[in-house]
Amino acid sequence: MNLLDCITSSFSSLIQHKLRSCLTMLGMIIGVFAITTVLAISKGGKELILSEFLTAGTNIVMAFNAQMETRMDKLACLTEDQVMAMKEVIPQIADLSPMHFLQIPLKVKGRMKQITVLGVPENFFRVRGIKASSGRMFTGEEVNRYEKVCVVGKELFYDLFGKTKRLGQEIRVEGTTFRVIGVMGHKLEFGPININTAIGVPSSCAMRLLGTRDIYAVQFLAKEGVSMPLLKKRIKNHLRQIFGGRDSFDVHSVDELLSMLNKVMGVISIVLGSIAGISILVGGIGIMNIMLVSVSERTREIGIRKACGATKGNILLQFLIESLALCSIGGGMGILASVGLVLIISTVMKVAFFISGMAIILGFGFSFIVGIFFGVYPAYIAAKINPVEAMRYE
Amino acid sequence: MNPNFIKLSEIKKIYTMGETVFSALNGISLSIARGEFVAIMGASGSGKSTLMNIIGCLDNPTAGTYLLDGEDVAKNNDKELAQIRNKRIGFVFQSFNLLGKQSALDNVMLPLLYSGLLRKNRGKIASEALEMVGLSTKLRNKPSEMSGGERQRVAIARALVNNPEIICADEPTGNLDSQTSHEIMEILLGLNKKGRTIILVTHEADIAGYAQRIIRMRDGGIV
Repeated sequence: MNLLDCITSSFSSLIQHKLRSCLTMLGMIIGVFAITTVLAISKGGKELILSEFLTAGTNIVMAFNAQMETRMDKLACLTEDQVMAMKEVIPQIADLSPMHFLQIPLKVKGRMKQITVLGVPENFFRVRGIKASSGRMFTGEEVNRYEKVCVVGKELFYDLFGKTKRLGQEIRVEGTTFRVIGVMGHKLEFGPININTAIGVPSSCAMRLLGTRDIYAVQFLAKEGVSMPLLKKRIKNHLRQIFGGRDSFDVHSVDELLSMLNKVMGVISIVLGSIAGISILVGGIGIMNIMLVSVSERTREIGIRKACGATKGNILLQFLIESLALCSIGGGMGILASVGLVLIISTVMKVAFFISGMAIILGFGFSFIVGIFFGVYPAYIAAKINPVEAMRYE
Repeated sequence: MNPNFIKLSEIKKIYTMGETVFSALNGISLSIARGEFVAIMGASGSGKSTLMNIIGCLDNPTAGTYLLDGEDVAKNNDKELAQIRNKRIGFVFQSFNLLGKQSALDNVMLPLLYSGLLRKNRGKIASEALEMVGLSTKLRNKPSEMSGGERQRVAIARALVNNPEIICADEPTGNLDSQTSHEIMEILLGLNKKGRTIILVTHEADIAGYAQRIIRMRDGGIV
């Protein structure tokens, strides 16, 4: 009996018990569906977040006063000269942008809220990869000319003006009116400010409003190929020198957030994957259970086959193929269902979730292994049945 | 004609169930010639089916020697025994032992499946075997759609499809009416006339009457 005959024989037996085969496969379908969907969503989600970071650039270091939000008046700060000198002292720095902060009360959706106003030079946005989702960002000339223009975070813009996207509205900051010229596109944030709910004004105007040129936060762009931990260390040491050995500024980089994100996503994937794996295991046990029932039900058939010349190997292979077929078809259907769901989620949420080849291989491979693992024992039981006793079996 | 085509010497079969030991065969010695038609008769529990199962290589003796065409059967492994059952021996049982969900043709093709015959030839050979037993119009019928006599004919077609030298028939007429029984026996007689060795197990004297020789058994021995 060749392999093709074994496969045909196994499939014909599965077809003869359609309902039982379908119900047995259900466990495997759900298990593989769960594992592939979980992998697709966690991988897609991770890549979505990563892509946001990558657009912003992973070679950015932020240094800001750790107590900035609570005790602004008595804080250690940097002068413009000190900041500009850092570019000379630390050769790994490609560019830097000093940042100024103001907190202003604004009526948002009928309630007064404290809003952060960010005074920055024009290069700040370019370095961070922040683009205008509508309108434009301010230019270096506008910074130099003290132009009263501003860009508003997407979330805040919608809260203030609704989804009209009409630019040219006015916002009053400390008695000065700023004209909205652009909306800052949505970006994931790190550091002290959430860009989505902030207002960006030219650094020159911010300094005038604050009445000081003190700098509480600086954004650094690393040169290509520079080790981020090294740059961070150099910036930290330099700042410590300035502040007489104290760590008055916190120094953070995007890459450390990335590694943290990777760890968190990894843990989430493992937890969800384990749950999905358990469902595959349960499906496998279900298959073994049904295969054992099938062996017992078909004892007489096994006896007849042996009387007609089937070897132990033939019987073993037939039952093993049946189990493998149940698992593989179930696995395949689970993958198809998963692809369907992921497509629907991607379309509805307008997010590019996708099932990777690895997820498909993993889902299918798992079902195949489960098929062999849980199919071997029933097949072995079937193979060693004595033909005489089998044919007497009622 | 080889008079010792089937040669059994001091064959014993002992079943142990817990503390109970039951001896089904008590040292049977027997020779059957090639092409002979032998009937094994005896009451229920006399050991006739056990003897037939050993001759048919479906079961192993506890002790003794079984030479089939001069070869010691005990020296064969599982694969070789399966090959003997497939190529050299055909079985016909009282309860037909057909696969209920498969057609007559599929049932007859079963031994061909294990014989390594090419797929395309199996249908033709099985159809011819069914034609030989007068069932050429019922190839696609399932056992449940057939009478007892027809089912036994399918079983005979399956037994002879691989052209075996021996046909072991264990009470082949046990579930059939008298007329059908004689029709089935005529088929077996015809096969014997074509040179096949027939070993028939029965407790009916008129059925045993078709055989050239009757071996009577009682309490696991030949009388």
